[in-house]
Amino acid sequence: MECPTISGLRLDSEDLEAIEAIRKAQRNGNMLEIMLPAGVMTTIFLGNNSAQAAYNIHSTDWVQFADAMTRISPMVKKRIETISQMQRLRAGLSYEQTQFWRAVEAGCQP
Amino acid sequence: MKTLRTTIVICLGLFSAACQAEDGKSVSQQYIETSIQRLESAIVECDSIASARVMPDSEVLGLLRQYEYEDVRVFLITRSAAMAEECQKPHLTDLAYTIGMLEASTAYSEVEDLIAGVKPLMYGKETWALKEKYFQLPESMREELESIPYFQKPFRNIPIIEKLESVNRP
Repeated sequence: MECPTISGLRLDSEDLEAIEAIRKAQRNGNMLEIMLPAGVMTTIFLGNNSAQAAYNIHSTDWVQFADAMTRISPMVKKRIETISQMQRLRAGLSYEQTQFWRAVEAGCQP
Repeated sequence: MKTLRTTIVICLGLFSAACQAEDGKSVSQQYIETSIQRLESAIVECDSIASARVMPDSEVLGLLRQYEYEDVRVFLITRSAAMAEECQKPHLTDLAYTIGMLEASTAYSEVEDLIAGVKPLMYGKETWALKEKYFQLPESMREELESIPYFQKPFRNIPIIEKLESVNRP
């Protein structure tokens, strides 16, 4: 799928919890001695301020994300996919949240 | 005395050769790493199978449209996860067995860190949650859609969902 530009993405507590689970998966991936880009989700999507009200994600951010996804362990990638799928099953997601988790799951192509 | 010392050196050498690989890894480490590598290859292969699939034909899409959209969305997401898991299952099972076997062994301390890193990747809470959502769908719907050959192999759920959504857009 194409990388979407998402404006005004508001992440709720469950989204942030899922992102934390992804970070944890990356840390576990490090145990497999596979080099992972440090805190990719944080630096790409949240910057240093995870309490921000709304995020704007540009297609260039997704380029960085897609690049990171090609370098991580398949087990970590699979875990990210499963977390994204579960997020997508939540009721009442906004259009922006849906776009975000679809792009994370599909590992969109720039 | 010299004979005894020589014997000890030989015994230590043999013990070491039996337990350590050339790269300094223990047999248990090598064993579990091989199991992990096999599973990782299976994940990549199963993903390639899903990527190579074309969209289901119009007859299948028509059948999906007969159900509540929300149920179809849940079916597609959870079924695609289940088919990926099914495809990986022999290697997933092998790694699960390897972990269980090594946890109960005297070699556990050699692989403890590796197991601590791998287990959460295999058994995240979402894995069961996805399965549970699947089994909460109406049984008749599951049975009908499961019987369709398209949904019996790994597939991508997002393109199908987007296709179904595009029809509903004004």
